[in-house]
Amino acid sequence: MSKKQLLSRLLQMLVVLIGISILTFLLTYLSPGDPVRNMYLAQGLMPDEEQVAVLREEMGLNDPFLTQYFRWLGNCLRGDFGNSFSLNKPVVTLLSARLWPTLKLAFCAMVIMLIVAVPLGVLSAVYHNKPIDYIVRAITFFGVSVPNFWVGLMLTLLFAVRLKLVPVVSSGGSFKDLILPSVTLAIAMTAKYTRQVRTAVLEELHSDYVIGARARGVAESKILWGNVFPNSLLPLITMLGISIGSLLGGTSVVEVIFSYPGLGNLAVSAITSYDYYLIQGYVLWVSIIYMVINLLVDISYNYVDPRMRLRR
Amino acid sequence: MKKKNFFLRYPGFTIFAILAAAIVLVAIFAPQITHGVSPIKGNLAEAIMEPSAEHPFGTDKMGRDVFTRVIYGARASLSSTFLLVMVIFVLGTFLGIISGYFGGAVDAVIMRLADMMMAFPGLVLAIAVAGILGASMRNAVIAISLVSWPKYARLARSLVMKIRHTDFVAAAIVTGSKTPYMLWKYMLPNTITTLVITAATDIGGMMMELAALSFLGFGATPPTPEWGFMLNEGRSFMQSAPWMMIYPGLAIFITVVVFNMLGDNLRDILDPRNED
Amino acid sequence: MALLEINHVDISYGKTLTVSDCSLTLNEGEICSIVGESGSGKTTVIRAVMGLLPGGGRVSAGDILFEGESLLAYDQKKWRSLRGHEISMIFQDSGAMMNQTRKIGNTFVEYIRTHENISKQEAWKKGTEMLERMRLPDGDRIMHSYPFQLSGGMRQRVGIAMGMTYQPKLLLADEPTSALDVTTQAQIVRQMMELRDEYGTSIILVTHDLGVAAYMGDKIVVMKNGKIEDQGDRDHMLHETENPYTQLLLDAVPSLGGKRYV
Repeated sequence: MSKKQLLSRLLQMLVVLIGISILTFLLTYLSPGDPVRNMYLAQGLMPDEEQVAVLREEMGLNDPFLTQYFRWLGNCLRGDFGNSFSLNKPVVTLLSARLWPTLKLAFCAMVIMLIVAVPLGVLSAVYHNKPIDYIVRAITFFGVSVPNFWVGLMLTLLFAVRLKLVPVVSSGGSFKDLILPSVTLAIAMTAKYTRQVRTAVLEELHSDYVIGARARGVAESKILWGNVFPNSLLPLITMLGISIGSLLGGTSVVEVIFSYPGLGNLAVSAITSYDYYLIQGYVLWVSIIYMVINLLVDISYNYVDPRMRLRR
Repeated sequence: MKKKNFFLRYPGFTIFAILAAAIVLVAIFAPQITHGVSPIKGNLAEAIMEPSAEHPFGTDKMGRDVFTRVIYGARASLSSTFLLVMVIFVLGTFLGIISGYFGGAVDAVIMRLADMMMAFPGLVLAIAVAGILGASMRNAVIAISLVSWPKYARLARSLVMKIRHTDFVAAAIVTGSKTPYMLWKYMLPNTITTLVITAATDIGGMMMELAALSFLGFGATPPTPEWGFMLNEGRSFMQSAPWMMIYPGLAIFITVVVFNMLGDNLRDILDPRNED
Repeated sequence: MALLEINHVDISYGKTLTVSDCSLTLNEGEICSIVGESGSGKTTVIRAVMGLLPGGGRVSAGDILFEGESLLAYDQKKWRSLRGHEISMIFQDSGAMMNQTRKIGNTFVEYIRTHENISKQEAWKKGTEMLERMRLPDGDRIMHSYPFQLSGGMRQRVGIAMGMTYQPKLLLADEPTSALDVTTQAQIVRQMMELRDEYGTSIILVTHDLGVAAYMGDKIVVMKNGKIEDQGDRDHMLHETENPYTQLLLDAVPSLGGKRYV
């Protein structure tokens, strides 16, 4: 990817980022909920209307939309993402504390996904329309049809409650804490990714060069592992990048189910308590992570495929 | 008879069309199926009872019959899902077509909007929107539509762009066809098949997203019976009354399976790709 | 004993019969051209000889004998030693038949090491030598290039060079000149005829170009709708045959100044 392309891409990301931040800021601005009132309720106190009004004035919550937005934006650029109303801590602190557990969870789920999806997808493609293909397709079908939050609950019921193998509530620390959440998160993604692997490999298998190699007497295994599979990696990497977005989003539900101390969980509670700055900070951070990952995927794609590199 | 042959020729589609219709009928005839038991009024004295002859799926914490609530739950889930898919389909297709047809500034704006929606993990944005607007099925539908229309818009746009600069379109324009006519009679038909297939195969997924939002508390509100929300309620009683959790989830699963199979079969009919 | 015998072969895809009652004999050192329109079944026939019919296709009747042995009874192992070694095939776009993300040298080495147990370096050397023996300029540069970096004509010559590495007894050529401009076509045609002169390779050439077919072929076979419409040696086919379809094809060849150069 040329310097010019990279620059324009970064600019594009910036525009989108600003757009999203305006959008969420607008949403919170227009919402009927009131964070100050909520602050009181969260502490179990009845909100005193006078005090609420005073506090709102102090915090600048009555200022016009653009004023508030630019104030927030300015602070962000200085690294100050504001304070959380409900938890009374700097947003930065809260987000950074929760970032690592979520990344761990997403990473584990991704590892599971790769270990299961790739072999199954390849098998399914190589033996396509044979029994094993039908079995894998049936499995993936159920994988995408089953609601993952239900599965999470059922797995908890079975392994945590009945069999007592893992803790019901995760503290995000040990490996045992991670199993159920990552498996739950991984199920739907693995099913989808297996299908994508199958499609990619199947398409490669129908390439002309496969016929050419066969005509030269090259062994099937060499054709598959030496040529088809490496060539399939290119689209697979792109699909992986897209999956990561779903992975990051899917952690929310899973974290709530398992009371896992991650970003998603934090986001959900921030939303329910109308914690404006926390929501804004979360949206910004996750967007950046997501876009950076996509950028990396695109860059690697451009680099790995010699056709991209050499064709001008 | 042509109709009869159609159904015989595509047994897969027929079976699942019948099953889907059955589910819809269950939703419509809920009162009859549950013999008039109320899904919202419960007898506290009968709270948290195991499944029995009288209560096939047991009772929940308010003493309501879970079976009845599951059956009635079909109404909320199905109606909001169909509404959601319709909204996304219409909105996405419309924006995609005009984006592809007019190009220029219109295209740029719409695509940037789409990028914004896609730059963020969909479910979380939906949660944010629904959470901020307040919990209700209507808001959940709005939230998920907001995040999901880009996919359809992009698809419609690329299909339109494929034919936008062809000779036959140019000919139609040159001979005086007005824009709305072009959009309706030329652009739309080219996109409709693919988009209908996409919508049909998305029904199951959309249903799950709605249920997920409800599960997190951003969708249906009590006392409405809705499968996702029932899972939320059942969660606290996981150890003592697992039936509160098992049956609503099962309902979602079965319904999604049926609609996914239906969608897949529809796709095979309308757009068969040969795998040799 | 004939080198290749195709005896009353039927080829079917599933239940559909695409080629019926095809019979053809090829002797050593002979060149046979198979001509026909698209869909006449000509490509299917030579694919069948290589055992490379796409999914669902199979020889449903008759037999194919190579040096007296039936190819239909071959297992995967025997096919692998046969393909690229005793029988080679070249295609319309030899470049496309190679992995686009690999250098030509790597594809060549992979091929050589399938048939010989030698090191990568030795295989690379052998490949370069082969290219040069086929009079390709700067073999080393070609080995280090990707398929898309070469011109169409070059790619075909590389394809032929690779195909001839083990001096196969039989070379199957599926429309080798169809994607080339006329000058390059002539070059390739000449090169292929030299193969027969230098190495004694028998060739089956499939083409829709009657001019090329007549120039190269000792024998010409005309196919239509999956059947052999007419066949015979060159003189007979060009001047003596009374088959109306053949005459139709001959008439379709453009003539220059009233004289037909076919």
